[in-house]
Amino acid sequence: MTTSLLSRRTFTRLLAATAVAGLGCFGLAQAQTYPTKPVTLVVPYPAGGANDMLGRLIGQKLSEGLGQQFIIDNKPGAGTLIGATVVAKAPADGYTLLVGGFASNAVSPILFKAEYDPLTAFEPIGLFGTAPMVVITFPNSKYKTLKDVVEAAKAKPGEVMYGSSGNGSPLHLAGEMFTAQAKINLTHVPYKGGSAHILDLIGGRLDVIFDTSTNSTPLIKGGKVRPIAVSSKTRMADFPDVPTFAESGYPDFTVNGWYALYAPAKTPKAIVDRLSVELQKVLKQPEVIEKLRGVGVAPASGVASELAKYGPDEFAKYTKLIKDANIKAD
Amino acid sequence: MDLIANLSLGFATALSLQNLLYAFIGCLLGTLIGVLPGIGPVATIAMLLPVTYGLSPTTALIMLAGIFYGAQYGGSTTAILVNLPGESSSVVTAIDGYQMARRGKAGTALFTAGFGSFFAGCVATLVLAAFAPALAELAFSFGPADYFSLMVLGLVGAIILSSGSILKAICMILMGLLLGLIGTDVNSGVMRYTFGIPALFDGIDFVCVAMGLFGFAEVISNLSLKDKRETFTNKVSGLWPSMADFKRMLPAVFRGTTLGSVLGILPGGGAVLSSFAAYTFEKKISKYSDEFGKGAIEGVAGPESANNAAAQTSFIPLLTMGIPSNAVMALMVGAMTIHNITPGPQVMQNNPELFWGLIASMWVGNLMLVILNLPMLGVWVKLLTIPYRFLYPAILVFCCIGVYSLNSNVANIYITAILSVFGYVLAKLGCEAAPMLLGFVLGPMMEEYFRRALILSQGSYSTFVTNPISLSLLVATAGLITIMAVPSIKKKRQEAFQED
Repeated sequence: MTTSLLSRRTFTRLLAATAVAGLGCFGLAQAQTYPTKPVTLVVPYPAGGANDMLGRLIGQKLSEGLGQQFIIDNKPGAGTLIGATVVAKAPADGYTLLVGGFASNAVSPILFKAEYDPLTAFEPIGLFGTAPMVVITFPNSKYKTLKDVVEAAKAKPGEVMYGSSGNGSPLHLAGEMFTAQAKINLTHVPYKGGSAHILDLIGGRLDVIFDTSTNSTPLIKGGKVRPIAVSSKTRMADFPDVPTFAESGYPDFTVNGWYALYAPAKTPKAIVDRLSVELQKVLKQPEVIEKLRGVGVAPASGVASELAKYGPDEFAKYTKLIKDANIKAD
Repeated sequence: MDLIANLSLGFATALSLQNLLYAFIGCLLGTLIGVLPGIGPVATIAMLLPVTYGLSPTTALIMLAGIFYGAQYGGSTTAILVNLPGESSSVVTAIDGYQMARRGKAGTALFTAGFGSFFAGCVATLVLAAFAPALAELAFSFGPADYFSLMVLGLVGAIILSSGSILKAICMILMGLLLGLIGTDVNSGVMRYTFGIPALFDGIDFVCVAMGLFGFAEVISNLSLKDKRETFTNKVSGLWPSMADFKRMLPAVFRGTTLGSVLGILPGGGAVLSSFAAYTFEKKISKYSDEFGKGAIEGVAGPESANNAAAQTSFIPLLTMGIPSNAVMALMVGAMTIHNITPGPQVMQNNPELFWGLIASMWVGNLMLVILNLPMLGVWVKLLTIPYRFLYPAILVFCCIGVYSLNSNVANIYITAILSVFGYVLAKLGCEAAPMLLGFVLGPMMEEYFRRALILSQGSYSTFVTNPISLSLLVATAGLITIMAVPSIKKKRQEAFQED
């Protein structure tokens, strides 16, 4: 019994191997059957954060759509460089993908010496969400609007403190872009990720934080912090009373977190297209839209050509900002 | 009484068949990963997160919480039996627990750890139920200056109260500080001692240091003994503690629980700080302070109670404010948001069955863990009778899996290997690894808080003394140094204890 089972299994394997070898010759045929084995989604962050959660959500939905398991592989460290480098060097067969975005594909390669070029190392599959920045302060602080912050900073330069989750984080870059545009001097207080900066804000030791909506939405809903402006183009559905940066007089303020799916460069176009089409379908599901919105992320289209322009634009924008503000890595 | 009504709602939820089952699964899994060195609750919970999609949010959180505090229980087992602290919070347990095991009291040490954890778990659960909102406010009043002073107290305490030569202890702490400096500077973003290696950008992981210095170095030292291998495995005496043991254990458990319940609320390493603090405190006030480092039962009872109490109260910032105080709590936030529950103060009002059910399940879970672990005592102790030629390779393999799984990076294994050689050299030189570990953990945090306090005060050093919490902590530090510096006080203290 066992022997016959074994031999049958070996036989099937041989068949499969022959089939795969045969398919290798024909990119198109390969794409039609893709995926034939589990796909690894590299999340360059530790488990538990917004990136990880979004990666797991998208991975689960792609599994349902493509009939193969999408396995999350958390490879955190070095400001996402470790995880992104793994994908950049992975075989371009569509079985290792990157849950990339703000850090891995724009900011970190500017701050650190990366082993990959963010503009050429990846094939864009699609942008799946953006997270606007929300300026928050503690509930009974004197700052009601962005104008109050600017006036306070002009009266006492350097005495208004803003916290961030680290040098080069979206929170820091948002602060730097704002000080540049408002021509004021705020003091940057960097923290090592985590939530200590939020505690110091609630405790009144910091004045404001330019936070991502994914972090601040639960805090605002819980009444622990008060929003004073959002960086989205229009007001956020969750906080209709909070004005945008544009309404507050800063239309050029354009920092936001973003989340996108990338494959290694030279991945067959047919496979990239297949993934992109599936991603677009996933992003139309009401359940996905609701879950993304629930954590403060605005769903995007998932169209590859859109990401092909968005990523390099972001890279160029932050290269300039980081150079002008003389920001170093963290 | 609101509290009683709430708790009865909680127990009604926690005692439903499904929730009991998942609490049990969580506790069992937690114990297992705790026993396996290096595989921590963070990785386990992250992997199981998708499994909880299909469960009700209450059941999901009950199971995940079970993994977390189950791991605290299990972690002490390997620390005591083979001197391998798998979690940062069980480092100090290894010091005296392992010495107890060497003296044939492994069973007693394990019992003490289990009993202390259970007692602390029960008390901390009550604290959580009764004072959660009030305690959360305490965390807000702790600013960077206060954290800095707390750590100064911890470091000075560690030097003064270390068992061996003070000079060596200071050197080891400085060595730990240096190791802790590796990585990116938070304030300026400058790389320190990274040599351009990406794996070092974020510094060396604590688990690598603990594994290398304690576990691997221990294995190497034992192998180098050749024929004179320790045979403490043969003289395992009774599993149960004697009355005398109980009398010494109980007060330590009380003190550890109190300390842990308070420090657990602080974000970032509350459990670690509390176990170090409890150890230092026990050693300071114990009549048997000369026994510390050689197998004092208080050295197991205090820290183990403290870290379990802290594990429980670290839920307070999460449940009342929606602010995760450590990586496990961050995962809990993830689990809640998956189920469309916004963590924060509104959970208590909107989902009372979740809030109180989770709290009640912690008590139920603690009870399960005791029932699960006590009969296992004999089995764990039997592990020591496994011949070294099987035990050591197994330990090394599990450690390698553990450090690799920290962030799926092979570099961690190399780092651990290098550190283990270093640890072996230290052991040969008669230097204790514990102060070094303390320096490694506290040093970088101290620097971070010190510089942040100065940024916030615009460079004014007075912030450390104008702040009442910080000031009182610094005064306590000064007190410790005085006791240390004035030999006559020290002498009198010893005499006083002898007269007892």
